[in-house]
Amino acid sequence: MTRSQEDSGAPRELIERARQGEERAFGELYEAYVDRVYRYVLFRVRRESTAHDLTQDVFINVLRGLPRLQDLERFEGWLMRIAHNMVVNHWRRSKARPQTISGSGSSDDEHDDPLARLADASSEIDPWERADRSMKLQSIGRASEQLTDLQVEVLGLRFGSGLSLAETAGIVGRSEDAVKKLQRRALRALQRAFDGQASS
Amino acid sequence: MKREERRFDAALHACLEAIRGGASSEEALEPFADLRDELRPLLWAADEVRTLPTMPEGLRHQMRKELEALARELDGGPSAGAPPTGSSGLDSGGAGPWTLILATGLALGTAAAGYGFLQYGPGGPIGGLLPQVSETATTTPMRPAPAENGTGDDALQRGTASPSDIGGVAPAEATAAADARADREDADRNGDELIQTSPDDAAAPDRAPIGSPSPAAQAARSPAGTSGVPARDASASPTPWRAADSGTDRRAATPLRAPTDAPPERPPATTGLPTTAPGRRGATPSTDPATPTPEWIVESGFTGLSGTARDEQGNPLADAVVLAYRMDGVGPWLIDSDADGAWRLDLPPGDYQLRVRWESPSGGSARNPIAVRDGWYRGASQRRNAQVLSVAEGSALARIVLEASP
Repeated sequence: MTRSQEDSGAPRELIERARQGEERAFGELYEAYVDRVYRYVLFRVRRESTAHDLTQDVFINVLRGLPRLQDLERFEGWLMRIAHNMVVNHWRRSKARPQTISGSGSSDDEHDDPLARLADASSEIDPWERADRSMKLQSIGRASEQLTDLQVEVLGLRFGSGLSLAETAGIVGRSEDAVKKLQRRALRALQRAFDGQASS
Repeated sequence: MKREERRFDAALHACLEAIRGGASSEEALEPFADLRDELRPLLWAADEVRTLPTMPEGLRHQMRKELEALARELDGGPSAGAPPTGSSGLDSGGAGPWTLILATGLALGTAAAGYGFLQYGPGGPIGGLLPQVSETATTTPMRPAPAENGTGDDALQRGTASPSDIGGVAPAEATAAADARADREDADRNGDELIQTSPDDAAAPDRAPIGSPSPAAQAARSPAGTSGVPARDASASPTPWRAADSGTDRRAATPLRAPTDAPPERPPATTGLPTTAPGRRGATPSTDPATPTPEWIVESGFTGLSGTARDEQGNPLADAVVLAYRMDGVGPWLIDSDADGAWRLDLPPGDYQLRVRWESPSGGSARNPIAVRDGWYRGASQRRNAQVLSVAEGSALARIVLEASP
């Protein structure tokens, strides 16, 4: 799926059908947005097993809250606000900041849980893809450690979930100009971090 | 903010929006020639976030099923039984005290099939346990269910995905003339009898004739193929097919149909290759003249899949890795293609999705020097769109053209 297709989002009619309780429509809605939610959450929590859990929690909350969503045009922003809140709640509960990003096979604290390891180890991902994912996650995880939380938030919303500048500004509570500035600084920091990895 | 900074931010934003709309980085940079070198690395950095991995397919699919089940359980859907939300009316994830238990339910040998299953509340019915939502409430995130017995509980068992549910199936498409040509070239190269499979072939008398195997060839058939094993057992991995080393007579192929004017057969819309249905050998021609052409033939003599790996221009890919993923999660099986791009996988009977992956140490970009091509059968870029092929005991689907794209 190209970005433009992805950004087109779900048609209003689909959202309406899901709101009316059509289970298949909700499934389609999930398919339309799960990648964006997952990428955003993964970029923020930097751990795949946690990202899986939080992504499901996000959609459960969408299922519960959808009947009261008045303006369907606001669906994407509303969805990502839920995702944002889920991440914040996760940090509050765990009183932890994100650690180095990790994919399958990591040996960090959370993966000391044998069931978490089992879940990851039993993924259908083949060895090549698993290696690709692991390398990518490690690389971007180390790079994002050079960013502030707000910068990570902005990059996650803008590029992980594909939100517009205005939608992002609404979620982080800043003006669009401020978000522009933030994204520029964040991208520069990320680029410097990648350059540092390449030269090290 | 300095004027230059403002201009740079505006240019960056314009580029990012162009990319968001589907433009490439270079296309987005075109209007900003003087800032191109400064902007380009930032666009690359944004792309790193944009291309973060997505959720693994098995988990993604299982999660959808569970969410749909939850919607169904809520007395007719999300509008029923849902609690009032925060004062804004747009509750945004101040989650309630859900107890979501993910029973991973995975025996290591059945990998992808056994992802999570949800239980809502401590054993009660789903619909009656919906909590009130408040901004201050916390969420108990879904976690793998305790599995004191080492294998999980009932939920674990019920959480096992049906193999047929994993991975969508691309609809059968109309005749791919290019692939038909590739098949013909392949056959020419190997001196094989060609099985006519396309309307083009049917209309072109100068093309390779279709014929049933000779009695001698029939007699030469032998079940030389051995069942493959997953690639993790390297010692028993299938060997790549080569014209000289095959233990089977490829000329002994079982034709899909007699060389008549009958229309080509078509695979069923799902996986369904009628030629590989249990107890069947050979195909029943379709009576629908509009049916598309299969891109494979059935051969006897080994159990598995074989074909060629090519790039999008039709050039053979040597040393490409061909992977077969069985739909119950076992595997993948893998093999390298030979210098002509040919490959053969001996496989146990079952339903498979095929992938080809090729890496070259040169030919990539300055940033990513390794050129990678990847693709799923047939023509899919992702597993969920890959067609499923059925392998039956004693016969193989052959001449499958796997195409990998950058």
